[in-house]
Amino acid sequence: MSDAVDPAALVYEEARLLDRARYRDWLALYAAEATYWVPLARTQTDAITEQSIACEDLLLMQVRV
Amino acid sequence: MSRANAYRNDRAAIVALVEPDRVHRDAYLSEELFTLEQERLFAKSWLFVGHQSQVPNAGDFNTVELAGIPVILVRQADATICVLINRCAHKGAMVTSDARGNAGRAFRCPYHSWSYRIDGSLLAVPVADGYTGTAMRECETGRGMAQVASAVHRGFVFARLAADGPSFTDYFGAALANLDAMADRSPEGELEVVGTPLRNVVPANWKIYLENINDSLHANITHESSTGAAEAVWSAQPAGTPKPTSIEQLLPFGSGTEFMAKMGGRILPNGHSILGTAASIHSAYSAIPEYVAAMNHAYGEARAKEILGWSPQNAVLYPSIALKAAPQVMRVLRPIGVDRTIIEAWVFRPKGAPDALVERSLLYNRLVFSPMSIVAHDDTHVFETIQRALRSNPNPWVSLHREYRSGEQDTGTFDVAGLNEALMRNQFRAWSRAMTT
Repeated sequence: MSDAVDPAALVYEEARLLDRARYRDWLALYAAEATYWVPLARTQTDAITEQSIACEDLLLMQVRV
Repeated sequence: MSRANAYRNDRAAIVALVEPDRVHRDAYLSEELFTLEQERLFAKSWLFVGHQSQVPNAGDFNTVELAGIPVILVRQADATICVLINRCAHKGAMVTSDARGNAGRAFRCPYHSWSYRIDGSLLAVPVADGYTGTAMRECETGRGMAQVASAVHRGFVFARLAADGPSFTDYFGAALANLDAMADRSPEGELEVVGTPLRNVVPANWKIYLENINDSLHANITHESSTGAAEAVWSAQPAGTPKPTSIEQLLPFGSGTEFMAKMGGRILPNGHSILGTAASIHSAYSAIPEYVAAMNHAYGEARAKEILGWSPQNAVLYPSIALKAAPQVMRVLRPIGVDRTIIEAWVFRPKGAPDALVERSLLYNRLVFSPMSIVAHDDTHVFETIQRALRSNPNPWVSLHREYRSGEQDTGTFDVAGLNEALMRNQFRAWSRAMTT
């Protein structure tokens, strides 16, 4: 994958893979140091010292897939 | 099958639903029984409203719905706490639709601007001379927003919607010690709510969810999917990798029958119970040295050890609360329909404890009680299928037979083995009593 990735294209690709349940391909999009964060409140600033719906490192994302 | 008012005026029909060792499916499927539960069970019990740490200053308020009734938790000027019915005395609008805020000196209804002091009493109405010579002020309308019976224990605020019913201490009895168990995990003896709870909508009757909380047998079977995945990914990590807290929290869901049988259960009056008096999936979390030191300093080693050694799987304050002293999380069940329940997952910070402890609690909440939790998904799937399949014939019974003995003790406080479904049978005895009194 080239260094200059169009962010919008990446988001569409991610959505396309998830829609097709291609979870391992989806996981392969993420770097080793990735964090998958789903905040609870729009105004929150921290993932782990405040309530979040999800804050997963690659290990937990592997468990999920 | 469901005739209108099959149960409302037929006490015997409700009694017949609960046998000593099994329960009829109507308890989970009947809309009429759900309505009666709101009136007879939830209204007469003491329900969790919020925590005093959510309303620190005079005028601070939080709103919540208890058994379908909107209420306001509000801090008074004299530092006491009030629970008001969120209903304008005028024409019945909700006085506030905000989740939280500060009312200043008064609440003001957005419909006609009727205003109320923060204790609920009527302060002012617009164009007041229009009420001269009328009975407005002398009847219920003149009394403003009603106050609900409330009680506070270690900062946890409870309310009873019904005008009459058991007192707070009579209702909970020794079960209150489980709130102490969580608060005592603070070196300062005080808790603070962290943020707002995570919320799940579970498409099943609340009792299906509550019974699962006391179901020790299901864990390694139902959670084979999530814990199996965690074990597989963890065992593939390079040797010497330090075990992450997430794995430490996930793997015990795979604990087998032998472990679960030794957990121990305690039955309390009024439907309350404790699962995991001897051991639980929370017993073996690694210690945080800084935290243990703070607890030893605050309580002395012996008492600190006692506090930290008590970590049940769940203490259930019937009908709607499940507490975990470790890791300081609490679930509140808010039934919104016969087949729909909101589960709130609260996290508490023990004041004086290091951040690492609270981060651990928040992690547990994300891993196990979040709408995205892979552990919760295992259970929710099963609950959804129960709600669908229970309608079938020819078997209308939900089995509570495990370790039942004819003539077994059914009053007072007593201990049972960890797999005994006596904890669930205890809940239905309380249910039946509330529904038929």
